[in-house]
Amino acid sequence: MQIKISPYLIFLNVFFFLFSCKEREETLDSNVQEKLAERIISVDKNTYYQQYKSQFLDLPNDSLKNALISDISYAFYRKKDSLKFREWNKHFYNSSKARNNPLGIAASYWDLANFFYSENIIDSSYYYYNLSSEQYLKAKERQKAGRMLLNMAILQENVKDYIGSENTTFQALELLEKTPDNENYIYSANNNLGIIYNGLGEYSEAITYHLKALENSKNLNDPINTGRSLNNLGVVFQKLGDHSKAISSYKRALSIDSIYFRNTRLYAMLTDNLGYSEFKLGNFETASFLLQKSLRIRDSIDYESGIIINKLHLGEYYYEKGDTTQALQYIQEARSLARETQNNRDLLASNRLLAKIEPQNAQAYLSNYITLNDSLLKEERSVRNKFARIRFETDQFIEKANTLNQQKTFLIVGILLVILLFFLSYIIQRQNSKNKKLLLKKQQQDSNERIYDLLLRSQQKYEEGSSSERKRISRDLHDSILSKFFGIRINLEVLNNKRDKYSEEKRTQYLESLKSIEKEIRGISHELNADQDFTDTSFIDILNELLAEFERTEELQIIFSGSPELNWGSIRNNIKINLYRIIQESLQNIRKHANASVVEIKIELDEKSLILKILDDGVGFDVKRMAKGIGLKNINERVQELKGDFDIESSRKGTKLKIIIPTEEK
Amino acid sequence: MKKVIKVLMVDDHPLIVEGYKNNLEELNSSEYKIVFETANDLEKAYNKLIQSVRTENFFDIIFLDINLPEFPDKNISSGEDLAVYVRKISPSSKIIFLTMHEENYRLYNLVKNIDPEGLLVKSDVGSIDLKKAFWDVLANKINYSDTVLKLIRKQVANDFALDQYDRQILYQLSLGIQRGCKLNSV
Repeated sequence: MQIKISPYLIFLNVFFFLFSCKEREETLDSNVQEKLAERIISVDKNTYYQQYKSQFLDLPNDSLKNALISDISYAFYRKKDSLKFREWNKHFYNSSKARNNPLGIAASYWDLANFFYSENIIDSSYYYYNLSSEQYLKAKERQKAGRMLLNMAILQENVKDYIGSENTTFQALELLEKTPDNENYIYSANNNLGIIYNGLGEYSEAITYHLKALENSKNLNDPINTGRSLNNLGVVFQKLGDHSKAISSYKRALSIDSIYFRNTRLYAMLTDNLGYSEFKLGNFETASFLLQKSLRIRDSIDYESGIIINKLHLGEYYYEKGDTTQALQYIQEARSLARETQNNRDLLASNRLLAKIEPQNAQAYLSNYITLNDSLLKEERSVRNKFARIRFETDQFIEKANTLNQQKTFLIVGILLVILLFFLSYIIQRQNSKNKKLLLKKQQQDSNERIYDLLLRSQQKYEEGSSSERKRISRDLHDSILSKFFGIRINLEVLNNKRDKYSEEKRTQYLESLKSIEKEIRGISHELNADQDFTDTSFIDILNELLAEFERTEELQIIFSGSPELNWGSIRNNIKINLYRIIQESLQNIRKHANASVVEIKIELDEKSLILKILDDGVGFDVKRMAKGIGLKNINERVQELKGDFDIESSRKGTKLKIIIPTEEK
Repeated sequence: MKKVIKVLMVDDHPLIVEGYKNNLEELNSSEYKIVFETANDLEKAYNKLIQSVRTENFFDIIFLDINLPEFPDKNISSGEDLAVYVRKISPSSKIIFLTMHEENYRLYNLVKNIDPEGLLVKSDVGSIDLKKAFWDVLANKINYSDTVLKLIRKQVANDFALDQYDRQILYQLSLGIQRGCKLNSV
C-alpha cells in the first residue's frame, strides 16, 4: 500500500516549492537596466541575446542590477531554459557575492536548489537548500532559513529518510516559530510530519499532525490544502484498514466548493482514493464507477503518474473480481507506462501485483521485483548517506564557526582584560604621581610653614629684643635717674635754708651730681639711637663714644685695646651689633654691681674668630649664683646667637669675661 | 635722758640714704636722739635686722625701698620680702616704705600683705612729708602719701571686692601666663 501513496505526496511537495518561489519582490523602475533585462528575457535571436547580455553585464554592479539579475535568472527558470537559468543563476550568485549580499547569495542557492529538484536531482537540490539555509541563518533571516530546512525535510521524506526528515522538520519549526505570517509554513511542516509518521507506521501520531495541518489550512482559508489534508488523513485511515473513516474523509474533501476546478489533479486523486476504499469495503459498483471516473479525468489532463496508480488500482479491482484478463491488461499498461516514465516505485508495485495475478510467471516477476527493490533501496540509501554527509559538513562548519566564535570571544575578553589592566595600571600610576605631587606640595608647605615660623620667631625675637631694650631703658630711667633726682632733691631740700659753708659745699656737690645725671640721660638717649649709626660710622668710633660715656658718667677708667690691623669692614654687622650690646651690658653690670675702678676691654682678631675680653677690678660675684641674672643671660643669649663661646671667671679681685665669636659664617 | 630712736634705712642709692639721713638728723633734739643704720642691699639689711634681734636692740623704724639688690640665699628679692621677715622677727619695728612704684597692684599688695605704718611714694615726698611721716609713725599713726590715699579711696569706691587670689590670678594673666601652668605664685 505504502508504495502507492508516495507519488501523491511527492506531487504535493512539488507544489509547495513552486509556491514558495513565487513570492519574489519586484521593484521595477523604468530605466535602461530594466529595459535591457526585459529584452534579455524576451529576445529569441541568440546574437541579440549576447549583445544585450554583454551590455547589461557591463553596467555597474548596484543593488538594482543585482535584483534584475535575480529576475532574469528566475524568468529563465520559469521558462525551463535550464542553460540560461544556470548561466544567470551564476551571475546572480557572483553579483550578490561581489556586493556582499548574503540574502542574494541565499536566493541564488534557493533558485538552484529548486532547479535541481525540478530536474529530479535530489542530492544536489538538498545540497543547495542546505547552503541557502546557512546563508539565511547568517543573515538572521529565520523564516527563510526555516523554509529551506522544511524543503530539505521534504526531500528527506521523499527518499524515506523519515528519521532525518523528522529531525529536520522540527529544526525548521523551531526557526519558523515566532516569525510573522508563518502559518502557511507551519501547515507544511505539520503535513510533512503527518506523512513521516504515516511512513514510520506511527499512525496515531500521523493522524494528530494531519489534523493540526487541517486546522492550519482552515485558518488559512485554503480549500486546496484543506482537501489535501483530508486526502492524507484518508490515506492514513486506509492504511489502518478503517475504510469507512477514510471514505468520510475523502467525501468531505470532495464536497469542498468547486474543488474540481480549483485543482483537478487533487479531485482525481480523491476520487481514485475514494473508489479504492469503496472497493476495499466491497462496494464494487461504486468503486468501479469512481475508479473509471478518475482514470478518465487523469487521461484527459494527461497526468501520467496518476494514470499509472489509477490503472494499478483498477487491475487490483478486476483481479479481486476474478477478471484476470482485465486485471492483467491494466497492470501491464501501468507497468509499461511506469517503465516509460522511469517511475520505479510504481514499476515495483506493478511487478508485485503481476506476480500475484500470474502465479506461473511469479518467479520472474518476484526476482524482477527484488532486483528493482534492492536497487531502489540502494539508491535511497546512497541519497540518504549523501544527505547525512551534507548535514555533517554543515554541522562541522557550524562547529568550526562556533569554535571560531569562541576563539573570537576569548580574544575579545583577553584584549579587554589587557586594556583593563593597562587602564588600571595607568590609573594607579597617575594616582601615585598625584600622591607624590601632593606629598611634595605638603613638604613644600611644611617647609614654607617652617620658614614662616622662623620669620615669625625672629620677628618675635626682634620685638622681644626691642621690648626688653625698652624695659631696660625704662628701668634705667626709673632706678637710676629718678632715684638720683629724688636723692638730690631730698638732700637739697634740707640744705635749702642753710647758709653755712658746709652746706654750700654740699649744694655744689649735689649740683655736680645733677650734671652727671644730665650726662647719663644723654647716654641713654644715645643708646636709643645707637643701632642706626652702625652702618655709616666706623664701629670703633661708636664703641669709643660708648666707653667715653661710661667714663664720664661713672667713676670708671676704661682701657680699650683693639688690634689696630682689625678690619671691621669685613666683619658682619650682626656681630658688630651684638658685640656692642655685650660690651654695653657688661659695663652696666660692672657699674651696678662690681664697684670697680678700672675696666680693661680687649678685642683681638685672628683668622677665624674674634675674641673679646673684659676685665674689671671690682668685687666680683658668685658666677654660679648669678648665672641666671638678666644681664649675664642677655650676654649669653647674644653669644649663642653668634655661635660663640662664653666664659666668665670672678673672684674678690675682679671679674674676667672672655667671649670668642667665629667670624666666618658656617 | 634722751630717747634713742633706732632707725634702719635700706636703699641702693647712696644719695637717697644720705638725703634721709640729712633730713632726719634735723629732728635730733633734747628729747630724741636718732641713731641711723644704713644698708645698700637686702643682704646687708637682713644681717642688720638679725643682728638687732639677736641683741634685742630692735629698730624702731625701718625705711624700706622695694627694688633692692637681691639676697638669693634667703630668697629675699625685694623690700616687701624683707618686711615679711621684719613682721615676723621684729614685730615692734615700724615700717615705712619709700618707693618709686606707683602701680596700683604693687601698692595695694603692700597694704594688704604688710600693712606698713608708712607708705610713701617717692615722687609725692618732700622734706616736710618725710619728717611728718616719721613723727606720725612714731606716734603710732598711719602715714600714707597722697598717691596711696587716692588709690585706697578708689579701691573702697569699687563695688566688687577682689581678694588676694583674684588679684594674683589677674596679675598672672596680665603677664600672659598660660592655662594649665601651675600657678606656683598663687
